[in-house]
Amino acid sequence: MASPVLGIDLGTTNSVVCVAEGTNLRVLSDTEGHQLIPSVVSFHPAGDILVGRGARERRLLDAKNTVYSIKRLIGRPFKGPEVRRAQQRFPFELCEGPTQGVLVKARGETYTLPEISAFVLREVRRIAEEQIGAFCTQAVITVPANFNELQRSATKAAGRVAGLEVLRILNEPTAAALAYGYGKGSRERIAVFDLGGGTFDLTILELAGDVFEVLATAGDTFLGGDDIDVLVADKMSDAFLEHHRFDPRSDAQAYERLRAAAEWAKCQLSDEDEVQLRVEELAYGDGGVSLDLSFGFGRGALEELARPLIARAFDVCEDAMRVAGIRPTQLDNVVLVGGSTRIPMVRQMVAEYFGKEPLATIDPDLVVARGAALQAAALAPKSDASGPKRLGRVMLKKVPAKSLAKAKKRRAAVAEEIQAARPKQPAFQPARAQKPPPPPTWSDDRELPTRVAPSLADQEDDETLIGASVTVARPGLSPDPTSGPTAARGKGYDELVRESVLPPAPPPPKPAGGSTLGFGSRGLPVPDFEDVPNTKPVPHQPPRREPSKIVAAPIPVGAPARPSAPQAPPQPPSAPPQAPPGLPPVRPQRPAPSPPAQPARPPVAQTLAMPQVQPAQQAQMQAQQAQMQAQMQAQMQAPQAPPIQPVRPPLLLDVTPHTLGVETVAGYCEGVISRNAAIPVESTRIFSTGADNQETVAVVIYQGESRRLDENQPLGEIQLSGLRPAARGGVKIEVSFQMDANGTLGVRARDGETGQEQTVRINLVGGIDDDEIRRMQERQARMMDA
Amino acid sequence: MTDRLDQLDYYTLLRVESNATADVIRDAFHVFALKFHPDRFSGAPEEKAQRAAQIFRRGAEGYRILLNPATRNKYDKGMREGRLRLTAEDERREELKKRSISGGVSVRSHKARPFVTKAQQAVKKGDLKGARLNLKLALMHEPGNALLEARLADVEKKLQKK
Repeated sequence: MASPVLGIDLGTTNSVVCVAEGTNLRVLSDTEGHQLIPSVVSFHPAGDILVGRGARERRLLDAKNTVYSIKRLIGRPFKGPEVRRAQQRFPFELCEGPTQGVLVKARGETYTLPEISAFVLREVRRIAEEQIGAFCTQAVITVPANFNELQRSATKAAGRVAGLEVLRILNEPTAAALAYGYGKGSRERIAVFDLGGGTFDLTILELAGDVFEVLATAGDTFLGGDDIDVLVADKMSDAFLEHHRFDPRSDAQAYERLRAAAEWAKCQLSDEDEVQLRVEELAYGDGGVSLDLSFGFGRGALEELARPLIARAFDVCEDAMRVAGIRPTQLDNVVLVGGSTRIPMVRQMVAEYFGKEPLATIDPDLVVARGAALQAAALAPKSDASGPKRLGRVMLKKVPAKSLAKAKKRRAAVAEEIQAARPKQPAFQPARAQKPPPPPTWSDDRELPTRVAPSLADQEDDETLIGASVTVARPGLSPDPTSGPTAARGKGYDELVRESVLPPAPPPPKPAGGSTLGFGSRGLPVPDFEDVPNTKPVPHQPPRREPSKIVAAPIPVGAPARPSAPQAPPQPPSAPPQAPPGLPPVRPQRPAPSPPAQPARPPVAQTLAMPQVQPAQQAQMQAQQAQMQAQMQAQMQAPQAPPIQPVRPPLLLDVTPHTLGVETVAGYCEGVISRNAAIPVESTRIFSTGADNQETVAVVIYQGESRRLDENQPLGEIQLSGLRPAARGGVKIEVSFQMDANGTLGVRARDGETGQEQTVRINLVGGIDDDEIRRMQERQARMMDA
Repeated sequence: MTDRLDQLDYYTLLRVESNATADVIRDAFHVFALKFHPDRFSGAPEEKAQRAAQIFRRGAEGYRILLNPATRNKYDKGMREGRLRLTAEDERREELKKRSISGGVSVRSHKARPFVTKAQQAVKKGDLKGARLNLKLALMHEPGNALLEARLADVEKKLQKK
């Protein structure tokens, strides 16, 4: 089995990882069942590096050495406005790097921003490897569509420092569109409204069967949920100042606690109309008296604060509409992505602007990772014909059990420490929060990848016997989807194929929704047997699903496909009282793999992804369910089904978000690659020398729409060297600027007359060369293993 | 050594008639992309992937130029004279013409834009007072736009001189 390619949503606030396993999309979770992994890195005094929930909690204790929201700064020059703002807001220390980039200082060491992101990626990778049971070395990582060259290459560098080969840097709205549109087969024009922690994107796409084309994209990389938190925290600070005559903004730790409380309040107000909170011991007054903050906040007040901020998002929408040449009301659907779209006011404003209710049927926190996993499956290198049998043993390196056990013990010890030091009334933790109990079916032993080897060995025997590949029931050991029936197998295989293709039944319900997506009309639902860990925290759930637990809440026909209750964002998305999101509509009963036609469904305006189940059909589905489970049972003992070929993910035609320009002799910026040009793209310009016998030429590059240099973002410069000696102006160099499918720049140059290729060197602002990356990768590996 | 790719014009490369409508061209580009997009070649030998990427880039160039009526026009004229590709400069010029409606000013707010346009027109006509008024109104909708402020300062200076 080739190791799967991970789809990683590396978010400002939280990161999510997802893989496509055979026919399913599985969002992976940590040992406590959380799918959202906070993008926070904390440097413990004992030398440990915490990432994720443990690190986030240390924000309240050790703000100076806890780094978060780094995505707002990655790829930005140190001298820019955003970094300046961050230096005021963030408690951790920033300083300038050698190539005008940004460095973070913590516990006496400096780290580049890609390194911090790499810590998060390593943790995400570790979680994935534990869940899947194989090493993962390749990933697709998503970025906001509006990210420029510097931000993209910094993200790619982060992947490399984490030891991952980044197959694609994928735009988040495109990934979301992929997750929504996959398998639908309908032709529609949609807008993806992506409001996350730090950035806003609007992308307009045309979904046309097997090609998803981006028509236009626009964004604001200074606009997100974090900004609302700051507004609320400022209000709280003002209240505190008035009452106690002490400004919490003057103390980094106190302000951090306020921000955490503000974030919590904001999330609560999506459900409640009013929230009362209390932050104790925020500061100390004369004589050591503890000063507390009691703060009441209503939804109306929040909306008043946030409205001007959200209005900016609609200026961006105007921009994108103009480029695409369509009116907001001409779109077929609007899709919401990002946690901040849970705010009721945002949804109202979106509905007003586009003239229709927006869709959020797939969890807005998970949808991007799911799309990334789909693209990862599409880009995964196809394994060779010798089959997974031989690869199985070779892929798993023996990890010394001792070091793993030591790491586990240390993790437990640190977790205990955090628990003990936790303040009594943590500001951001809502009163009714309960730590979700770990899924009972996932035993401790399974945490160690070494223990999976025995089960792989079993699988090998199965394979030689039956000549088919992996059983569907084993955790994560689905075969590479594309190597399926084409690989050489034992005879009688065709009979197996014919026997075991089941009539597609509605997928089994998940009480905790959103983690699997059966796709294709031959999509075989994942049978839930003991081995498969629940990806959601489901307390004391018997492993075998009850047939009666079909679609939890029958969706009234014709209702807009909205989640029935917004979920509490600080917690991981708990079991929503609705049908599992992301499931395709009930498929027609035929095995053809082509995009299925829409079967007889109740005519609803929203066509996406929600099985619109009539109560009358439930009984029929239950019977089918029972029958299918019986068949599954039989299958477990009998020869296995061949891996079902998933419907191939559609081709993504994306665009570059900014114009790439060069500085001309006259002091203007001349565009070379236009904004919203389809990528990969190429554009050639001719440059000449300014002096006799000039050996090198430097071309300064910018990203931005203006003709004025000071309005654009400087990217760095391109150095062409090895020019043949000639009089000034005698050498004409054809420089070809290329954007690849990642949206990153490549340059080739050749002499116009001789045709000789010139040496090209791209020096980006804040750029990191290969040696640096290797050094950082090694340092990190040492730090994490220690 | 001529590259076959350089001997094809955009219409032939995308397999459309020279009088094809935008919809036809779009569909044709989709078919083209399914064949030559680099994503279809992950795992293929490097050489093949490079060549496909080169073909795709040329097709994408054609797609861009044919979809925009102004550049398509220009291209058609050039084709009659035997030039099978539109140069990047020409393409950029057409695009700037399109954008010059707002004078190439990057204005975010859609409320401010019409005022900027009016200000441009006023400056062209020599109506400095009108330009100042419109620039001020534009700045109301988009405070902090450095370029607008600079332009306003220019206009004020000119008015003072008078």
